[in-house]
Amino acid sequence: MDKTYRKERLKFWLIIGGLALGLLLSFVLSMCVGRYAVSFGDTFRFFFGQRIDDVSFNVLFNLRLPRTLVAVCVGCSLALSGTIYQSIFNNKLVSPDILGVSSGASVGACFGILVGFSTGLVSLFAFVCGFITVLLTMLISKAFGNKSNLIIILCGLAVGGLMSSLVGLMKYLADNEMKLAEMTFWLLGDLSKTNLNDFWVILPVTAVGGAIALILSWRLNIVSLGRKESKAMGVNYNAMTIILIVVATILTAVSVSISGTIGWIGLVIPNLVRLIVGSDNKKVVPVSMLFGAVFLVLCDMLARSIAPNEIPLSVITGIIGTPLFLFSIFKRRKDLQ
Amino acid sequence: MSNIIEIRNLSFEYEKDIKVLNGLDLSIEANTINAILGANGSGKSTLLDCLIGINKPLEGEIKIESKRVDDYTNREFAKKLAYISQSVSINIDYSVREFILFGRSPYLPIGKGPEEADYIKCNEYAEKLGITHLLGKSITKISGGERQLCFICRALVQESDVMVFDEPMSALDFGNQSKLLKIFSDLQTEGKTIVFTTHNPNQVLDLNCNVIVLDEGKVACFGKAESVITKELLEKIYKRPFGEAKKHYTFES
Repeated sequence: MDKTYRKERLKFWLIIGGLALGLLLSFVLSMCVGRYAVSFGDTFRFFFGQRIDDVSFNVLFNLRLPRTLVAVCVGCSLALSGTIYQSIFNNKLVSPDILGVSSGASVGACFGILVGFSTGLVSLFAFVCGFITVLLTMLISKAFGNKSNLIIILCGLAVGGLMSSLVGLMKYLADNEMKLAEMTFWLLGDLSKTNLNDFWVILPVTAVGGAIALILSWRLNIVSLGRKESKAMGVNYNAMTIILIVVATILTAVSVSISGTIGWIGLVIPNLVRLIVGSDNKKVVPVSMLFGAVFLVLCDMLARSIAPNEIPLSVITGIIGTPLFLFSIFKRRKDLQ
Repeated sequence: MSNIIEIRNLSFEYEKDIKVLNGLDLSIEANTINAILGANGSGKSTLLDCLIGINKPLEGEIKIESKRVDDYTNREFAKKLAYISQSVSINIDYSVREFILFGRSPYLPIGKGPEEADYIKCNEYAEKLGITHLLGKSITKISGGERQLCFICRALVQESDVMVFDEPMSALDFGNQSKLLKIFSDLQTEGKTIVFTTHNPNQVLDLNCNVIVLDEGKVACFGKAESVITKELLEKIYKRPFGEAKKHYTFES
């Protein structure tokens, strides 16, 4: 009998149980809180299919339920994608945008808004452009005969910089005030326009991506040590890296195309989670997914309830994420010296 | 005794027409300890990288137990050969226990992490190396020598038939170097084959193992250390005059 093994396993399941409960509570809270308050009683009656007044039903069914469900999936996807990228690139300061996916998606979305596409088409365009941007990054690094992850990261920075310039150009061209405001709101993250269709789009992506990441989570540790170490321990580095980058990219691209760019989650959540459960991805991956979901549900609840007008999500995630990130730096300050 | 590693006519170059290995032939018997000696840039690490399949040879072939290296699946290969490289950059602070357990990877199916039996194995080998007190610490917060011992422990946990170490003693103090040489002898007794690179001919003489001397991308000499390592050979490969040692201390075995 190994005491450490049993103690670690018990701690892990307690954390998972606590976060699952936290997710349930934050979900219920998110359904109740907003400019139109719905009582806990009505919310529970709604969940159990009992009759409630029409206004509350409409608010819960048409507005808060899809929005909260999408927030769960987006939070989960962004935190997971950050965990994957940070491990693959052996760098805790990497965020999901490292290969340019968010900035590419922003170009697509801003272009869609500029030419007057419908909301659905804007999302589709954002997804396509995000994915093409990552392909472009990978192709350029391949053309440079990349032997190290540093070249991929540098190519990602270059391509991401180009995409940011194109976003600036779109904003410059958007002389119509409404379009510029719409672009700005999209670029700061927004779940106010989400509906159940968005949820049905993101749910399978999050579920499949999450399942693949959970299956490969322990091997992700070995991939983080690089090509040579992976080979020495019997792990197919190239196949694992490609699968995981594709998974992380699709998760980010779909999330960003639905919710706009939401900063901090992919960077902060994995670092906080490592402080709690250690660095083994077998634990970090599931805990980050749950933590990211709880975090975004609560941030979204604040975004629509603390001011008369809705506050963009990135503003809230930034205000909460910054002290949390500083806290994680403070805890690890000795490693950084 | 049968040869566990067979290398025939191996050539490798990083840049066109500058061969680091040039038609190298080498046979290593099973259940032996083999030290690779050579000046900086003589191709020691390159040879090991070819052996584990990271470097693709320009010419020639490498066989382990009569099977070409490329014909093994990754996991089969890792069960056959454990490899510890010279330097690995680790920025994510895995605990020493988690890091050593990575060595169980070839035995764990995809989707599974280490189980209780793997933890027990990790404890056994850590005890053997005297590093149980490090198990709960972060791999990024221990000294270079301690980290070296953790890498070696990971290779032991991998339980492969052949263990290949690239300069395993470079960061170890005199006591730990001696301990490692003793572990090499024990592993040989258990039927393992050890291949390691070193810059210290005295360690090789202490161990009196096989020595492979590399020079200009080829095996210059191969044989028992006492018969191969001479003043003339050292002067030839290191291009420096050598004198006899005035005093030479070794630990009791």
